[in-house]
Amino acid sequence: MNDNHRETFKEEAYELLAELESALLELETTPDDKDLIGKAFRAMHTIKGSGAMFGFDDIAEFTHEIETVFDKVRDGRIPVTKTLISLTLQARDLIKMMLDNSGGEAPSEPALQDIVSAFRKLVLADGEQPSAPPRAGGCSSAQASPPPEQEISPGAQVTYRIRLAFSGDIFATGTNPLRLLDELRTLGECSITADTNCIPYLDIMKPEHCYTGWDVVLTTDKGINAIKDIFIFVEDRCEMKIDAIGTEGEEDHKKLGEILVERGDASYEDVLQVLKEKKPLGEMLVEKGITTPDKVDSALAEQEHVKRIREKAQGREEGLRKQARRHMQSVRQGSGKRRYGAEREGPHRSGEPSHPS
Amino acid sequence: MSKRIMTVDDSASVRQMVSFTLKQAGYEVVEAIDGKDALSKLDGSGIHMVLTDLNMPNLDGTGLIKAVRAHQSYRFIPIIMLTTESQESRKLEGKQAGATGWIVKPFNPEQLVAVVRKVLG
Repeated sequence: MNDNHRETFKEEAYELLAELESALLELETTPDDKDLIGKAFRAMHTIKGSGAMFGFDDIAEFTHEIETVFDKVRDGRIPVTKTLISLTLQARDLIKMMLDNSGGEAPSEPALQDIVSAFRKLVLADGEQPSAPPRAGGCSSAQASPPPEQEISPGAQVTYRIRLAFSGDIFATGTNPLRLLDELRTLGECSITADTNCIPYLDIMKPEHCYTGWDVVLTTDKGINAIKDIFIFVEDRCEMKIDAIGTEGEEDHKKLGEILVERGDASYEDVLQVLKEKKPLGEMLVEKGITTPDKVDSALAEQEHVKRIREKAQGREEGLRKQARRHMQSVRQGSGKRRYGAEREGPHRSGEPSHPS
Repeated sequence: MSKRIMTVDDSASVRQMVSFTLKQAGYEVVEAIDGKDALSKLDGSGIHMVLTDLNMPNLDGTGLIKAVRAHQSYRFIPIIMLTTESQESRKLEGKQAGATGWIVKPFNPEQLVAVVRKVLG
């Protein structure tokens, strides 16, 4: 962390401690003043939040205890009493001492613990368990540790089918779904088909509403949690269905009818019925109104994607086999040459430097 | 043209760190000390994104989010909240008000840039 930022924090923290002290002294005469309570809370909230960001973890952890109490004071659950003010003033002195001695001698552990215990008693008197102190060096929720994966060996290329339906008001949160699709593309080979079936006629269309859904087929070795992480900010505004539809090494690809049935876009019975008519399946399903052209296109895109991935994998395997054959040939030829070379070079073994005598 | 981001926080040290980090990453930065200050700087600012603290005097983060979402020119811009782990209920209020996402304090410069790039590109 930049030293300038730490210095700025220290200056700011001293100012906030002065503000905290004056708010506390005023609260002695006007204990119900919400502005003063808010001021005291914000001072501690900032000292805690910024302190943790700039490496003052001891200050952040200690201040968190007092902030927790003042959050409850702010909500009217704990009253402002002389005891609370006196404890907070003592805590303020200890925080100042920690700032004065940052990098040096800290206040004694028992002194801090006494104050923390006294604050915790106030919280317990409110009928709640005290909250856990903040973790230093925490991270954004976007990078929160994902739950353990239940699938497939780590590092394996897996093909996923991802169906995305955003809530209509997604744009009102400043979210651009296309950016999320771009982020998915960074995970691996990706085929994306827009589902435009819900777009209404122009005269009733709301221009600020999102009507489009997306079907994505993604082949990646990053695992399902990497996919979920991309949508962390929109998980309550996006219906997302993720299915693993194939792993590396599988050779067959599914037929269009199988994909549509798996996706729930057509029933097994309908597909069987239509197959009897001997026309391209997608065309017939659309003609009969069983599914829509978008859904057929999307299923075909999935079929193509999987075919492409498998062909690539087979090509890689074939390439490796050829490479191995070439290698074996060259080993055989090379060993012949080395024997020949050894004969000509006399006492030196092949690969060793020859010293002029 | 580099994108312009407004950082709103009553903590000078956080504003300084956010501003420094974003400038290093190639963004332009406009600073505001609270929600009221942010709103007064919004018109004509040409900003593409807001990063806002939640607990601030005068106008807090949730109030600012609501006001930006009601603004004719800036209603669709991404807004990221800077929250602490103990602020779950306030984070929820912010989301309901129309926040795009959040970053949990304490965060480091790499995490900040990652979230900005995720949302803004």
